[in-house]
Amino acid sequence: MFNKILFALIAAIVALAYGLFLGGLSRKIMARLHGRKGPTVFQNFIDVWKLFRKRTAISHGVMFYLAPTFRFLGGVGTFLLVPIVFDSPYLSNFSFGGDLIVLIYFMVFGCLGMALGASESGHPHSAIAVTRGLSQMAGYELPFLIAVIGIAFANHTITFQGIIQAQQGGILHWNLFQYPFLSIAALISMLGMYMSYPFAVVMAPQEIAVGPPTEFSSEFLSFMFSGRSIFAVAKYLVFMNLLLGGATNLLEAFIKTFILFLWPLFITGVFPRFRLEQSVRFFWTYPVLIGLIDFIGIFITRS
Amino acid sequence: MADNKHFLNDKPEKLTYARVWEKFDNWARANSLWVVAYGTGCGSIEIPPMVTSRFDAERFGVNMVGTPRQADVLIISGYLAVKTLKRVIRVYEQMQSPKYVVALGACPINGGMYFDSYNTINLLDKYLPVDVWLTGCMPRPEAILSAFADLMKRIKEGRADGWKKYIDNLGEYRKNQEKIIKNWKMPNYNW
Amino acid sequence: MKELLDRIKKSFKIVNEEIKRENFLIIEVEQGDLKQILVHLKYNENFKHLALLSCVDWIEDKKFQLTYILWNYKTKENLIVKTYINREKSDHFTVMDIFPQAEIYEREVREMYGVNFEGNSTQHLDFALEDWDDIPPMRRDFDTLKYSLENYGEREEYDRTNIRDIISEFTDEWRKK
Repeated sequence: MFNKILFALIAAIVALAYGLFLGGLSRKIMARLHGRKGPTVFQNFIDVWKLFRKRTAISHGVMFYLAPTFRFLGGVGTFLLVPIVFDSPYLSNFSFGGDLIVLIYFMVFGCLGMALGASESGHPHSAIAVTRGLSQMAGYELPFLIAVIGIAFANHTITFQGIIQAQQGGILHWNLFQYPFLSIAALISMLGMYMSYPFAVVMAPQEIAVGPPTEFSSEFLSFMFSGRSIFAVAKYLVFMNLLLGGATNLLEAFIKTFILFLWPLFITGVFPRFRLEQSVRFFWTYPVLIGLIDFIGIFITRS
Repeated sequence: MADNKHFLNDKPEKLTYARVWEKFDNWARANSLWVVAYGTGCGSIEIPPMVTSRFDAERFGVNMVGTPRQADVLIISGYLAVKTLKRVIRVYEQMQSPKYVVALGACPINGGMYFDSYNTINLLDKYLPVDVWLTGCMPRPEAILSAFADLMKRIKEGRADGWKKYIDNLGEYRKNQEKIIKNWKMPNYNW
Repeated sequence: MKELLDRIKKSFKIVNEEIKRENFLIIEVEQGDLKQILVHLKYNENFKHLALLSCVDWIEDKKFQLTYILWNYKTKENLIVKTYINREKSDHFTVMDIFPQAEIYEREVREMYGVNFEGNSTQHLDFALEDWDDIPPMRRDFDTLKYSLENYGEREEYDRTNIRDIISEFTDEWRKK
């Protein structure tokens, strides 16, 4: 038991570093797409440290302090529930029976905490951004849930271990190829989760000055930044376990999460922004219809 | 000093930085400068070319943010009308320390082209502490990047302490500001 | 333009006129006749657009000159109407009821020159200067260099009080060439 806690902590720190590294790498790749040199790949580390060492002189009440904590803990908590390497005594974190359902609730926790804290600060731009963020979450959760429940129903299991077990035995057993329409719905909702460009209206800097973190500064912002990075890595792991068959060793985990990291990055570089009602309408029509094809197919064949 | 429940009460002498980490801190601050996206005068037309693809400023870590709460650097680009000066002081006091001011152009130095105008100030130094002066009318984006390189060098040596000067001489700065800004309704400075 | 000038001269008294170009006419009227001429020009001669209202300070003659620039969309002609008003007691009336956009132009002229437009209820609001408490700054007896040096100061190394003489020396030399 002590071993497990120790390895989970080490894994959380490594995931934080990996998330910040991927953030810097994405800035470098976007810069090369634009035809310029970008910052170094370790730029996000430097940003987080600089923000941490700034003095802060403002305070808006208790909720203002709790909001970055929620965000950080949401990230770390989600990370700890997801197994990194299948069936390993060291690296499967704290996955247990029924963890898929807990995970779906936990993923909302981080966004909710930030919303509460941002509205406590009283800044009018934060309020606009919070409504946009929560409405968009109502949009992309629907295709995501269709994909997850479809996969869980098809394999008669609601644990991660069960889902990964059913995908062993070669590449063609991955859920990406067995239930292609469900995975398309999940991948499109992934774009909404990462707030990458067609659906980036929440953090639009030209419109509302950065979105929910408008009033946060210095240490609060460094916590939110780190929380965002580690939350991103946790979501890559979730999608890897759901769609790409889990990982049987550490190198495979790194490679598969890197492939998943490239998908929102390449979409971000070339798209403009949708408005909020356009993006919610998009999420509720096309991915849902595509996912429902497979969903109904599963119902007919298995029951 | 703090009459508002939003501002903390203790003065900066109590919160000192650990000397051991100061060199590393300064290196991190120099390599990740965040600029408030606020164009105060006619010089702000040289800022968009600086941050786009041709004269890339992001390779030095310079980023434009939308709110003064998250920024380090305030660029005063060009002349400052008295109306704008009132708002700029408010923006400067909303930034969290340590913070730096870069003055672009000949107008903040000695009035420049508008030295005899009844509406623009002549010396920026009387109202805000300035770290780097850059001359030109307007300086080209390469010149602004060299000003940033100079600012980074000063930060790494530990000489960029305009914000400390502002806190120490707040009375004098306020006297100069209130002389020309007539309708003054500012909250007290938040440490 | 000549026919237009003759038509106007039939009904109103015009002090001075000049046809500058083919579609450009300048007429000068008395202050009392101004409103009737503007109404006639707008409704009978189709000069429906007021492009500009500005003011010139003739300090030697002790007069302000108010200039109204009108434009005709149908015949594409420019018409400038000038009046001279007294400088010490500069009271005038508004033309807001004829051209609604004159409200903002009159606000600017009041702030910069001090002309009082009777009938314009928003003319006392700030146009470009905030909390200005000196004489209206575009008048020619306002010394803007002295105001700037007194209030905003200068560096100790410079001495700019007689900079206008230095500059005018250079321009006189250049003009002689």
